[in-house]
Amino acid sequence: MVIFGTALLAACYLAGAFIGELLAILIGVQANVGGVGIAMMLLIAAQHYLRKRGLLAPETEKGITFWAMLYIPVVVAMAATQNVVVAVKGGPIALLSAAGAFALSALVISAINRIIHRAHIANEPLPPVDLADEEALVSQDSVAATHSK
Amino acid sequence: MLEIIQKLIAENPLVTAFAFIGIVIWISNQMARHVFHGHVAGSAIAVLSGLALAYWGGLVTG
Repeated sequence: MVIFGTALLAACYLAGAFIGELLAILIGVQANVGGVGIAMMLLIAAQHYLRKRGLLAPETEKGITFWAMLYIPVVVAMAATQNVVVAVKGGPIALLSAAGAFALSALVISAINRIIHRAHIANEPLPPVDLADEEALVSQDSVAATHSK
Repeated sequence: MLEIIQKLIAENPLVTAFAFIGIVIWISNQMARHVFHGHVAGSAIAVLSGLALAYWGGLVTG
């Protein structure tokens, strides 16, 4: 049943938000500390655990996939409900923090991508030589040679 | 502790509903399989238990 995946997602979100509230009380902050991040880690762990046990039917997983695909539209909708006028008028802190977060994410994500890419290259055997490609190259070379003559 | 849970549920009604409905449907499916031995559909039990819960909620809240 698809709803089980969505229920798992919702339960992980609530558990993460709960832990975030507890952390906030421990630290003494008037906000939720990392609730969504903890929820994401819980969901990944739960998915891994259930899949290993064979309890995660493909249909159940669709209940998570649907919301994963709606992630960007939700972010767009959330962005559209922000009070941007106040944020921009309130001074450069909001814009600076946005630019800082963007720059940091870009750097970290590109670094992670490069690491993953390298790991893949290291694990892969050498690609087989593609004869068609080579013939194309040779013919291009000969065409270039005839043109230069 | 309870206050935090109450606050979270009040702040995230939709998410809580998804989780709760998932649990209700899971229990209904288990009942259909083990109590009624497949003679009653799990979905039917789930809808009826939804109505029963609504009745209970109505009694409690007036």
